Amino acid sequence: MSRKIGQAVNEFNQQMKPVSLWADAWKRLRRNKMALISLWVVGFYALVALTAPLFPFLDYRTQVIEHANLRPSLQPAGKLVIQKLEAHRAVLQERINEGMDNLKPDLERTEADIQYAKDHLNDPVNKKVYIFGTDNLGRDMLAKTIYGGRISMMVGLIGTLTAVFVGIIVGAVSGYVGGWLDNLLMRFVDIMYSLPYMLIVIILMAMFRKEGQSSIFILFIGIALVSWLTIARVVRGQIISLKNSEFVEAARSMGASTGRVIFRHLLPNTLGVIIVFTSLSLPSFIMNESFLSFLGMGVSAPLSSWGSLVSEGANTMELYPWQLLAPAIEMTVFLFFMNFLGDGLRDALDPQSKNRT
Amino acid sequence: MKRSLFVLLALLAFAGSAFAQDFIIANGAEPSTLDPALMQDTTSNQFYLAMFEGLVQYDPRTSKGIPAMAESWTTSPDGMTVTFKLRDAKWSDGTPVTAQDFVYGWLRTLAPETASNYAYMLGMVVKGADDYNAGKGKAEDVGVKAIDSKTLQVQLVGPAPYFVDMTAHSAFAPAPKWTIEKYGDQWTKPGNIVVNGPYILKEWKPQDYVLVEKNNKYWDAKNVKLRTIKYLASDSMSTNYKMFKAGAVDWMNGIDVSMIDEIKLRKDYQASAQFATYYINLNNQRAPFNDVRVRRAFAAAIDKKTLVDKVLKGGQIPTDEFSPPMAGYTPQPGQGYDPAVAKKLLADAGYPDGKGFPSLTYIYNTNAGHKLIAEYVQQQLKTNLNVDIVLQNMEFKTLIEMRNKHDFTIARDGWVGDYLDPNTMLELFISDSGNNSGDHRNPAFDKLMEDARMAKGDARMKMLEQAEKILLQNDQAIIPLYHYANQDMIDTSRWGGWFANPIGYHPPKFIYKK
Repeated sequence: MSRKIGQAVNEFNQQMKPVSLWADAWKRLRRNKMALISLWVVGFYALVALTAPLFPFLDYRTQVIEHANLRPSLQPAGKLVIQKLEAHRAVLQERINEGMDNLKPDLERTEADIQYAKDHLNDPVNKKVYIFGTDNLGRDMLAKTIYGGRISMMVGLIGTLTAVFVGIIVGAVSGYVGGWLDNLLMRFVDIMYSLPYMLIVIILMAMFRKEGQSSIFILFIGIALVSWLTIARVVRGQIISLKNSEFVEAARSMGASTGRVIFRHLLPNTLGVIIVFTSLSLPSFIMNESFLSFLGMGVSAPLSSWGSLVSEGANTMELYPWQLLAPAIEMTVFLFFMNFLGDGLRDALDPQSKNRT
Repeated sequence: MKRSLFVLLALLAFAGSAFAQDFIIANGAEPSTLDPALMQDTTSNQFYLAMFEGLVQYDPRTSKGIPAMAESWTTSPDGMTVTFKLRDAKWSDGTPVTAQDFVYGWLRTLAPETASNYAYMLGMVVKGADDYNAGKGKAEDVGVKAIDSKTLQVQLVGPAPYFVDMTAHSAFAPAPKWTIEKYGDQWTKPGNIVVNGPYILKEWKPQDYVLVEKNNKYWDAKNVKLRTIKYLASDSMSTNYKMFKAGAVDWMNGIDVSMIDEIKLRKDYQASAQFATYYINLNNQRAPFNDVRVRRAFAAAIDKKTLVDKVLKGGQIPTDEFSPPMAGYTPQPGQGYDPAVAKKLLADAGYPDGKGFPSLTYIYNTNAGHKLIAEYVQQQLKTNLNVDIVLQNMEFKTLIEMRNKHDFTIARDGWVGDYLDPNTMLELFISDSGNNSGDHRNPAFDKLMEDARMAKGDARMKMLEQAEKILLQNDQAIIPLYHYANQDMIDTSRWGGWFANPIGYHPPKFIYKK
């Protein structure tokens, strides 16, 4: 057509193959190397978290008391125990030579433990390998961090999902419809805002906690209840600033329904903000959970989360640094790549760059 | 920046010299009260030792009673009447300490409206006290009389040989009537409080610290060396230990269990046997623990020896009994560790292999050591009984409240004897004792404990043994885990007057800098 008229080719006069927003975004995401790596890493985390129960060797609750506080190693546990006890014996001997006679019973006990460990070197339990070391009750740190990751990711996911679904719907409706509905919804958000988050969770705990029940579900509800407030406000602001633009007018004049205008025209234009906000809030949900766990209102043993593992590990970091490092590194890597992925997604989903390469 | 650094250095230098006789204690938790009549836990009791003084006080080496407000005392030949002669001492507002103050203080502890958890302790020994506390008798009939302002006469229910030692306890404190009547329950606030001990409350920052300073009106003020004592409320043993290592804490009561391998090698680690027991409280009136077989199954499912030798490693003694052994008294252990028996008992109770057993909550106060034990117990129950329990930690104050209200199913507990006699351990489980958290009710036990009050010498010990037998062998009301070891961090080459003793109370009056 353009040729016939004989005009130059430019971006306004070409036949374009219609491409959906998502296909387009995926195309652009694939070009972003860092985002792609992030996708793989986050995918790997998700896969491990989902399939962990299928691997019987990932046992986060069995305590092998003899294996307490073993360092990360590829050697079998039996050998490490002997090494550790012998090192302890040397220190004890040194202190006794310095005149601390009260340590003599400890030396005797250590000698007996070494003998016991040597005699049982070939027991199947002593063949175990702890690549991330063990904690103070002889539990595998690898299993603990993986199961901790399940809880933390779950918390992040639930917080984010409710934030996205509830927040977007409330914000969009409120912004687009306006009037008394806007007033009503936003005042409700204000009220929720003014209640301290901790207070809500504590009240929920007091109301719903039952004998013998772990509080993790109440925690999920607590996080979900407050997670969507900020995003609802952000979306509302975006919608208000966009709702009188030409493309909305055009859609409306062609007879599009309110729902169609909101979900097909307005929301895609706010996706950038939503994604940035989501990728920023995901770590904060995980942090919130760890704080609550620390106060005894989050996950309780034997389950743990990254947050609770880190706060426990910090207590013993001078003696057993791996108890801090294993969960801390795992958590940092996850959050790091999660942020990169968020960044990539924002670039990819930005409707302003539709059909651009 | 430079200037602030200079100020900081100057402050540090100042702190190093002028504040030399200031003592900082990591007290392990926020005190739940400073009112002697209401004190119940060792954290609060520290303030009794600092600010109040009873007829006698704890000897820092032996934990036995030594003369304090009472100069001397005489016991009647039948052992039923004790007459104390008070010394000339003053309250911190200058009022003399009189026998009437003791009468008022004791009656206040006993008054039903005070709701003191320790009222039963007076009730056990003082004539008419139990009836008054239960609302059945009159205050005038309680056997404590002021003969004159310096003579106090006490009528006992029986020839209790431990009575004089007992009066070192906070339940036997004198009380300043005029202050309490003026301020009501605000009388223990800084500025309001009137004390008769070596130190007086200066400042209380909730959840941070309590500061006391030397009371110059104290009768023995010239022998009180420390100028101020600061009690830190932090319940993080890890933080406390780091502060101790950095020199910011002088005495740490308890240790950071996770660091035991390092702590044991230190010269400022003090460990000794303590007249105390760590145990698990079961709510005897609530299902499923209203069935003795379930209680016994739980007791049989926990390997205490491994817990102590391999996990805690702090010189504790694993035990199945409640009262520690002592001269003339043989403790009567309850059910010991035996997984096969545990399984059988649980099956007999209707839960073969843990099937159908309800999920229960185990409550404990936030502390790395209690958490470690809780997780160990949880796993032992899972392995040996296939029973799941949920752990829940809370503030110490909340835990005490829940235990007092019997609002729990399983709770961590520990008891330090108040004087060196099995009686102080066993009396917890009398039906109407304020410290009977597990709600143990057995008339035969109550009867034996009551009879023991009237008895003397060997016969009395036999009755107490019989009572412990009922408590543990018949009823298994609780699950004892171990006898505590006193574990403290204090550099005794720098601080004098601090000695290891069986009860583990260290009156700050005697502590001084070397």
